[in-house]
Amino acid sequence: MRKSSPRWKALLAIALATSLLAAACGDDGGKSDTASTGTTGATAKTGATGTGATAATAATGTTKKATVAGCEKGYSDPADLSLTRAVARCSAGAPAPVPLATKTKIVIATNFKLEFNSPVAVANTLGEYAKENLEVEFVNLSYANSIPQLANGQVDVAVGGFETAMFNAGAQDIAIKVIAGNYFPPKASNYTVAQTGLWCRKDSFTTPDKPILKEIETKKWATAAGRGSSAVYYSAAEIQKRVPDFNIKKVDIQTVASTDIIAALKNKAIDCGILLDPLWTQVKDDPAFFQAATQTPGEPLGQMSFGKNLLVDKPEVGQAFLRAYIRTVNTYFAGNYHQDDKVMAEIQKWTGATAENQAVLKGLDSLTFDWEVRSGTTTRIQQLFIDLGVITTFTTPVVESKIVDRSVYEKVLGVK
Amino acid sequence: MVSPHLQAQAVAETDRIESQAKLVREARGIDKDPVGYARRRRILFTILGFGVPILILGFWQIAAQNGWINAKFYPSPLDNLRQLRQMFDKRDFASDLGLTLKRLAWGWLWGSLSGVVFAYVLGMSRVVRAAFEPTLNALYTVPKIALLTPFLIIFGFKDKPVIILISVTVFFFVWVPTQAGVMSVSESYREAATSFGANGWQMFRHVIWPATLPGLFVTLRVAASVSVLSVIGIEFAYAPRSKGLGYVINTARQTFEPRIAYAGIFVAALIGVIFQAIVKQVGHLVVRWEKDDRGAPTV
Repeated sequence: MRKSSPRWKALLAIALATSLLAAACGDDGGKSDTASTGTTGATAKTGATGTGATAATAATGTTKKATVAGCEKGYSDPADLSLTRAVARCSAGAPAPVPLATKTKIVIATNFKLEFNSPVAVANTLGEYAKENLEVEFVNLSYANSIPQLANGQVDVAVGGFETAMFNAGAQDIAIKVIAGNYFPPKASNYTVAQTGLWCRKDSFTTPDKPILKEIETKKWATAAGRGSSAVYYSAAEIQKRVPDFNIKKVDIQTVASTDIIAALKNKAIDCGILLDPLWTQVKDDPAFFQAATQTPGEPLGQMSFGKNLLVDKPEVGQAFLRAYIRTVNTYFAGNYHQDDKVMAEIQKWTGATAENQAVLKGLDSLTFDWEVRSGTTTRIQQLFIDLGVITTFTTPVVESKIVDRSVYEKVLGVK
Repeated sequence: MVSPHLQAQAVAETDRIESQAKLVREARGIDKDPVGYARRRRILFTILGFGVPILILGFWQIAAQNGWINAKFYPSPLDNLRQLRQMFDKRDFASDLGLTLKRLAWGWLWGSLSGVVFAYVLGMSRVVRAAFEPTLNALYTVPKIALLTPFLIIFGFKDKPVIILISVTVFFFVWVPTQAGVMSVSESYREAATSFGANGWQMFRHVIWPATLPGLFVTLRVAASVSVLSVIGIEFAYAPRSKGLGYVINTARQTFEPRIAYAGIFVAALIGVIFQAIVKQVGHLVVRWEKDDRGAPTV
């Protein structure tokens, strides 16, 4: 039997090293997404939009632009993860409606009636869907439970987060794609401004006057959506910016209903909890608590998905829906809409908020709605979930192209 | 003098009437060979007991394999079984199962014990019944899962609130029928015991207890199923340490892993069947004078 010579071995080693290097340096965005985060170790994989502004990935210098009238600034490079990125926007009323030839009904599934998905509802009440000759029906269904319905065509659009169910569906080649992002808090990562995020009890730390953030990995956290929630992702990413060796795997993460988290914190049943709007306002002025993490900046962590109906069978209907949605964002949600009584009244209709909560909401910063999907978000979240053992059916993140389809908003905005 | 003709007619008529009145039937299997018949029936019942679910699972398997149903959403039973093996191998499923069984056993035990005690005390004492029954009736209709949040806050985010919630659920399923059983013990039995000078304890020990015991074991079987439902349902909403069969099923549902969800559901069903069988068997041993559900004495 012939033995391989040392020269062959050396060549083989060089080839292997080169390919590893190429993989490690590979671009994470667009079609070249290889699902490799190019990082090692659980703690290093949780970095969201880079690790802070200095590490933010620079734009790849795409020459693509939105060409639809009024939407010249309606597109940004998905690979641009910089904190200074201008969110994609069109002028009010753009993109202009392109009514369908026949009135078409679509079914939208969401089990939230919150501010973050209110543009989907406001588009209906303020007639933006009607301008596209669309009729919508809302069904109360969680994203995970919508997956079979999306695939079978009983539901057309589902609203959810970047969640494990979506990744598992992508891994199984189920015809569901994320077609748009939703929002990010305008002051995410700014710890001088109280906001939604991970809040902790100071007295659970060894030095309550000045809690040592590293200790947070030994604490008991609570989230409404459990370990597989995007809240865990952004908390880990934000803490890791300040504590590079932070290990999310050590954290004891409990699933507790959102509205019970405050009570659990106050009863010392948990040390930290994800407090959504407007729950965090109950502790923001309490010196016994501090904010440990905000959402990652400039990165929408929620999404809307299309199923087979709007992706394959009737793409023009899907475009009409998204056009109405984007127009709603540009017309009603582009600025500080919390000061716009008309919009706030529509939001209140959707959320059913009490006058008291509505007043609290008015005092907060408006959300930054962003229909675009940042490059690599799905890969980073998947990697964290794999490390945490939330995703168990595969060990390498599913490539982005199997999960995200940016072509719908690109067509709507005439991106060329 | 009756003519011979008429006599013959009368005899013939009498024979006809007698032959009509006589019940004549062929000896059946149970008459010819009662032991063999009982054995054959047992085999038949066993085959039916296993055969029907196997038939359903078989149809499901064929449907999934042939694409009659979407196997991504409704994985075949064999796929689910393979998944179950993987869960034991790779996912520390044994500890999830162990915790659920622990919560289930304690919840059922405390719920049943308290239910039985309340049933007999309330069933035998009008005064106690008048004092507690309206309150208990009001609590009966409260959806128990709604008590989870206050229980979590009162008892902490541990196993205790889960076990207490299962107990509370089981309590009502045991208390109501058992108390009804106690109150429906025949008055003639009570009078007989009273005429023999039985005191309260003797009345309970020799009349009420044996008369209600068969019904109590039926109730405890129902309670076994209810406790399985409860523990899984509660773990859907809150699972201490994020562990438990309900947590596994719910997480699989939320994360779109149907094979894990179905494997978990299969295990939950199996727990229910085994738990019921255990209670039933204990019932047969304790209530030896009662006939089993095939109509045969248990001894």
